[in-house]
Amino acid sequence: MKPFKIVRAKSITDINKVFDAAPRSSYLLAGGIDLMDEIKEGLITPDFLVDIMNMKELKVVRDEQDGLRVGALSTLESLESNSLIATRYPALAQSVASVGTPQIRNVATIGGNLCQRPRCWYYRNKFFDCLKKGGKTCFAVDGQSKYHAVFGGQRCYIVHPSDPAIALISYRAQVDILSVDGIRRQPLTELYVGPGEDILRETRLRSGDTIKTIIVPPIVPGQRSVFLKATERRTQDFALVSVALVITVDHGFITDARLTLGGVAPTPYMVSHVEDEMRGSRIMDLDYTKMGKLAAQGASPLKHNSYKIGLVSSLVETAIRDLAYS
Amino acid sequence: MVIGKSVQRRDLPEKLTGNAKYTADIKLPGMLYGKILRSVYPFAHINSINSSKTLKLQGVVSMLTPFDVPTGYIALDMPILDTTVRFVGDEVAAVAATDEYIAQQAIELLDVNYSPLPFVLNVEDALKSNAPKIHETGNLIGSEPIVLIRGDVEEGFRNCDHIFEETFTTPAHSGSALEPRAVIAMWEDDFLTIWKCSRGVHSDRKAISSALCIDPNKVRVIGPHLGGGFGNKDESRLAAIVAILAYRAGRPVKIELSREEEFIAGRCRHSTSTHIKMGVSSAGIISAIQVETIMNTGAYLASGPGVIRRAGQAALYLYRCPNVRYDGYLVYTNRPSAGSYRALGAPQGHFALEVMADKIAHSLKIDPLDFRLMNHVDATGQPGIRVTPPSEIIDTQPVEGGIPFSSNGLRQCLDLGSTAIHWRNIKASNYSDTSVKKTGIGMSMFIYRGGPGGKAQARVKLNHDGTVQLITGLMDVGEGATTVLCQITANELSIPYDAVRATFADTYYTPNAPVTAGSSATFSTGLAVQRAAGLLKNSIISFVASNLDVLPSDLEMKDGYVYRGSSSNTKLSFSDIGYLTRETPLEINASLMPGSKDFIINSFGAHFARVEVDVTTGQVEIIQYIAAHDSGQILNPSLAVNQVEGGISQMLGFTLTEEMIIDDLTGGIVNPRYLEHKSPTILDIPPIEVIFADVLDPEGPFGAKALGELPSIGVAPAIVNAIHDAIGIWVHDLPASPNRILELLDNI
Amino acid sequence: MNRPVYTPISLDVNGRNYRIRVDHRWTLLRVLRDSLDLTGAKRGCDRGECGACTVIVDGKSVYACQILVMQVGKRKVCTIEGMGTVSNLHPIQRAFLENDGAQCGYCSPAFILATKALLDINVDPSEHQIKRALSGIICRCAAYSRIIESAKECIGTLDEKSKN
Repeated sequence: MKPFKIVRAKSITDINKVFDAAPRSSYLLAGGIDLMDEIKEGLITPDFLVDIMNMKELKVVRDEQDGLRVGALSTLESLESNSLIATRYPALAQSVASVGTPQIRNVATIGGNLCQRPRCWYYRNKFFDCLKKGGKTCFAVDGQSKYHAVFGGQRCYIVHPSDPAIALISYRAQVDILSVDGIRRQPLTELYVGPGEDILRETRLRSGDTIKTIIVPPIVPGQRSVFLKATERRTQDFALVSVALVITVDHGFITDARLTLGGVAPTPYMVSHVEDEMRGSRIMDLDYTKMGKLAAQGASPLKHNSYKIGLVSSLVETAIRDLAYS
Repeated sequence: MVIGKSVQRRDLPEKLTGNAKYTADIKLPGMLYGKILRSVYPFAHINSINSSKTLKLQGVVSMLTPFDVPTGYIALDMPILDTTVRFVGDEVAAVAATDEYIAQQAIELLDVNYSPLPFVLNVEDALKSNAPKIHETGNLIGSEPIVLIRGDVEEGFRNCDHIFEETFTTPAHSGSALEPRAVIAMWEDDFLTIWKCSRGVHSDRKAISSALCIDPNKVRVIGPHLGGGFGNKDESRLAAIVAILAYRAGRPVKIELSREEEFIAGRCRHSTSTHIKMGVSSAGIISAIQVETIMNTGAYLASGPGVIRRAGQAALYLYRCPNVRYDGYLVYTNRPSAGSYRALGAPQGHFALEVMADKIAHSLKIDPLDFRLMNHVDATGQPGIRVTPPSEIIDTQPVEGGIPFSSNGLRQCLDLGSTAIHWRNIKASNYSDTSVKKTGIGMSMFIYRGGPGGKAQARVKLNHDGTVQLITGLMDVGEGATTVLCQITANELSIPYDAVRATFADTYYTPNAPVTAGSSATFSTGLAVQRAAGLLKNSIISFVASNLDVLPSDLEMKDGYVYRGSSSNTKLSFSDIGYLTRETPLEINASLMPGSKDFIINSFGAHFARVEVDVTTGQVEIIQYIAAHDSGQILNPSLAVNQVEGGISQMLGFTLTEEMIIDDLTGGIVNPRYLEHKSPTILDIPPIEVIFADVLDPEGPFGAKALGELPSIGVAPAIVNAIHDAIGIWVHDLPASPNRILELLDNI
Repeated sequence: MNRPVYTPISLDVNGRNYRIRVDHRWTLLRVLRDSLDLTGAKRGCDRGECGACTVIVDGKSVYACQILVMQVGKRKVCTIEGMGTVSNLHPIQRAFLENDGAQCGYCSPAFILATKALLDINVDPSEHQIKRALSGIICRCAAYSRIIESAKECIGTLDEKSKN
């Protein structure tokens, strides 16, 4: 491990001072869970880690008119134990509780969780010089692809790793991004970029940008939500497939639906054709199995991940059924 | 009686307070830190290593490459370092430096010139005539399979009504003990002291001294507390490397492996492919069993011959059958080296045989429990005629028939376990599930050698303070051998458990001892301890007799005293005797070759599992697990229960999730970490009920037999059979992970 | 950076204040083990996956291997050395001793600390809450059943003095 220096930042100006001087070798340090993993694995060799944990404005959690504001530095544990989130945004609470282990949730921040790098075992292993690291090959194409993408691979078959992101996107969350130019607000979906557009990164954050707040819109009457995650172990496991479904039901009819999948594509995978199909339907009359099948439409599996297609269908079906009877 | 009591695990207070020192916790003055450079090719010749940049790096003190290594061998097929590397992760070179960061940088600066060679990862390819030869001797070890025959299988197949044939596979998986391997070496003139994660300090000393061509008496190996072994940590290459680095540096050197290195360069369980053919009558009586197992040993032999042999024992001996044949192929490939892992080949062999048994029972519409009750081997052993001469000790893994077991509680295990899980009721209840979660019940049974190991020795000494010192060269690998052996000592001498002190795992102070392996510690060393303690008792009595001028027969040893007559007030305490003998302490050495000339000494068990399979996610949940074991008398029930529960919980990984996955194009392991080599967590384990059969073995110490490895054997088949009962699919290939279950369901 | 960057810090471990000079790369685990010789926290994976390095920081269980010591600041660190001693075991340690809640012992300090972190905030946890609280530590001996029994045994035995 190369030596690095930790610099404490109190403001975006502090951050940018470091990033301007060393844009390629400066990294934001919050909880550090994923960052430490990358440094130890030798995937990145920072000169500077900018510790932002003292930036108070990134810690605020407040219920406001335009929604629940969650500071990016909130630990996952603080969100897990937040009763307001548990009652209003159950899918978010469930997704957060499914991340890692207690020790990780006690330290990891929601901002860091949204920006973690993919878990692809070829990417994470220094031995494999893969496309995402600037190499020439995606080893998963002909290699071991059990955990890889079935949608939207486009050369690189990573899957999006964050469970909370899946839930937040289904709630139509937005993020406030702090940069030298001020604060800009954008839908969380737009934070992410697929390998077709940029193979080296997964978010559109520019050097020195930092997520300040996540804004989850207020719940509306009739809103129901659920998060489901299929894993191999009962804890400490990334999703084989995860599903977050948020619907609004009015007099038995679905007036709004938002379905997002994790673990299947390089970015959170939004299944708008299923949402369209659901909207306007009576929830009790809906063909859940058909919706499940529809959600998996267009999947193109690699050698070892075709099981994910059936898994997507099953989880979507279960999610809709859960909400119909909730 | 201390025997049969759940006395507390020795050293546990130290471990629970963080005081217990494991190898990595030890720090010596002036100590350097080493790192190993590992091969990036699965098979390559090393032409040269340019170390000029490394040697210029400040803080680098010593180095070892295959071009300047002493010529000794650490194992038959393994020099200390070699100019040929045989798997991705094989040792290339090593550096010692003043800190770990520098050592890491130093190995990264080594410029290795490789000539990559064509490589082979799978046994099918490795056995082809044109396959690259991983070692000079060829890829099939011994140039031919081991073939073990009793009776005539062809005859058996001619005389049956049905023949069943299937192939089963099991993957490589890693024991990955929580403690990564660590070694410290220190030289004082020409005397070498090694602290290492070890399962046998004496075998380590032998291997290290022979590889380095030094007098074994100039080598001391100490095994600090061991953070899990499970059959691993019985190899010595790392220690030899560290010893040379320390010698060249003139300072102590420590190397700790990373978790990734543990997965890759530690030793995994052999992957297997087993073809099994059985002949059965319509009534369900087995007349022939023919099994062929092909086993991938990876780049080095390690304990492979023992493993391939043991994989066949279930086929040869679990079911009463006059005609059996086992062919075992052990094959080199360019995968990471396999080695010893809990129960060696037995889990693989039993998985194939015991799932096959259920398939046959299912086909013949016989209850799997009845099928086993009809066919299991009983106390009389196998049909046939004894071949071993009467004067010889019987192999614990025999092929021949005509020899009875010293004890056989298999029937009891089947009865106790099936009753505890209400097998008959559940089977009769004709359960059907409408939900996505389907329930099922399954079982397995098993046989295991173990117990009698190599020559066992023990020394017992009366200390001047009246305590008794038990001295053996054995390693407690976390299973509790020290506790049980001290119980035996205390029991034999009628003294409190606390009055026994123990010296283990240090070649300097202890007599030679085998590796803690084959579930042999309690049985073999236990017998030696029992004998030594018994002899010490005699010598204490003799001493007191001459001291009090009475006949030894007038004396009685009880509660830490020697009494003159049973109700007499004349007595000498152990402390008195210890004090009186302080100049020439009473001390006994005992050694023996454990085993029997009349009986086969084996342990048995039967496992029962109820599962719930979610057909939408492929997840298998174990909702109840019953383990019935015949390990003879249980000397410490609490430790024994822990051992059984642990063995089962550990092997849930083998059954459901764990697998070392290799990239076929490069030979690199893609999942060398806990996150993706998915070992069970506390949330994954079922409620387990452990039942011990009431068996008193006439050969073992206080009636005990082997236990440690047995719980790991029956897990996979019991669960896989239960999965079939739940959803009607047979899993032939482990692990039964969600993706595999979903794929099999998809193909129905 | 070509050369290590060192900074003097003070670190509160088990109520004792340590003044040390640290390389910015050092994790809390490295400092505990190498600088302070508190070797009860073990290095099992160095990646936050096995839990053997679990310690308590300001009341919460964390992986010492994934936290840089520079991140700890003024927070209070509790390690196994801050609990009972061999001759005077903490009630949680005693429960692990009496219920044989270990085999090789390598994960024991971690399980004990995770149990403490749970019981300090929840005096009467359910079995599921216990398992969840302990789910970040792997025991490869898989002595889980005994560990659960040990932790359950602690419920209600902790007086105010043995907390925090």
